[in-house]
Amino acid sequence: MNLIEVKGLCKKFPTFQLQNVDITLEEGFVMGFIGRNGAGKSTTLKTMLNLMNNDGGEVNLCGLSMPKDEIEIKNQVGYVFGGVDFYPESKIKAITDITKTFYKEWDDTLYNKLCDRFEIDQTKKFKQLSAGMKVKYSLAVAMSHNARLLILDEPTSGLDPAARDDLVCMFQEFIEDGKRSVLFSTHITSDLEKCADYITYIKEGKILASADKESFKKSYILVAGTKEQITPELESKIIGLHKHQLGFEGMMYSKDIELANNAGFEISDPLLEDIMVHIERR
Amino acid sequence: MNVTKLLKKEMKLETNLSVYLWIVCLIIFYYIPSYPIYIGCFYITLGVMMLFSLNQLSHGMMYTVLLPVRKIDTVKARFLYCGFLEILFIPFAILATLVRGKCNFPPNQAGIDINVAYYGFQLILLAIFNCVFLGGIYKNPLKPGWRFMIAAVLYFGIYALCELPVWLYRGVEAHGETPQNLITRFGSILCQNDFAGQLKQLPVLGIGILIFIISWPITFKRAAKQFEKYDM
Repeated sequence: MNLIEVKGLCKKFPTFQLQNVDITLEEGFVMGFIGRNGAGKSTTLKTMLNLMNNDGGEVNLCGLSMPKDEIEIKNQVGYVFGGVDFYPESKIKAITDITKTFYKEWDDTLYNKLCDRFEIDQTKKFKQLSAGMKVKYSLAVAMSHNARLLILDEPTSGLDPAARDDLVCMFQEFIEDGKRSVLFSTHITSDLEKCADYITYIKEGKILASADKESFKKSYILVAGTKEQITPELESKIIGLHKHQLGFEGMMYSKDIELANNAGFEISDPLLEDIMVHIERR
Repeated sequence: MNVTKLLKKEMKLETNLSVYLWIVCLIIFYYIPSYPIYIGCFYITLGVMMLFSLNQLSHGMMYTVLLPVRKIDTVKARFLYCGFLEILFIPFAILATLVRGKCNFPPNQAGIDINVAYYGFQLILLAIFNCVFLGGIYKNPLKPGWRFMIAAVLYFGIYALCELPVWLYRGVEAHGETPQNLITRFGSILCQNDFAGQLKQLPVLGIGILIFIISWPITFKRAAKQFEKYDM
């Protein structure tokens, strides 16, 4: 079953627009949603969640249609907005006591267990939690209302590597039973190397690619060589070409590997970060 | 059902200490002799504004719409809460009337006393404030400042209009003259604090109640429509 089915989602602003965004995610997987700042990641997530009105397209989450089944969807979806402090002056216990009343399937025992495990001190004010703890708290809330889908907007930004690794492990744990999924946006691609099964790449409001991580990575090759090796034809095939004193480096589609081989380029496999850097290079 | 929960949330999570401070101001101002009586309630409107202003810091609005609730219900709960804060003036004003009577407070030299007409005018003032502030704030609920300024200027403008007959009558009275025109005659009615005099003020109260009640659904409808269109 697809927990996310977004088709042709559009949102227009005076200076930016989301154009026909399509995203599909089956249950049991983690999808990384990447793109540089301002590419439209948050807008897509907010439009999917009906926090923003769309200008076209269809959104189905957990098999339900947004906005028709908005309340039921929100019962089944958990959200984490990294870097946003909700009720910073309120105590964790007070926030939870109010929040839990809205969910049909709230599990107090599980919540307390998760708080113990994440070492969340419920007597603390929200602002007193560290950045990592804030995300963990949001996760504890989402898991306690038995969310099937987690949608996270830059949950790991601002966290130290250890805290990020900790969270990434939790995402994997969350989907372990094969019935739940995670969609998270980030520009920290190393987190996705660790846990994402699928990658969706957005650039200037358009989806460039949406595929499983390995296929996505295999669709590109890194190339490097001397300036003399580049012909105008090859130059047009290189994405994010960067010429320097010693030669050049860039990225090509894997389908063009023969061209690269024939030209004698040094070829290597890219990481997600390499792909992002080359795609975004101006 | 959700509205009740949201109302509870308004009280527990959205209400900042400053809101209570403005309520205390409202109470205190009723006990200052010869002080413009409408000012106390203005502090309640400040509390209403603060509810929106604090959303910028707490991200409360975003948090609320992420809960399994409809946007319209969040507006309904906020309106109910604001309405509750506003009508708090009624019990406090009644209490103040009793205390002021017992303590033989002198007549209010700065304007109207707490009498039947006052309640009517105060309800009209609040209704106008609500129409301007609450009726427009959901276009951009995170920026309440300018809208509040407009609503506040209007509040004081209407307040002056409400007090005008009283001030004019006091002027006539000070010169030992009898009120001649409609305004000063109306002012003389507004200044009567005995039972018979206050009976004559009942139409003002009636009009006030009517305007206050009618203003809510109209304002709510506008606000709900604006919030549905608003992109978080």
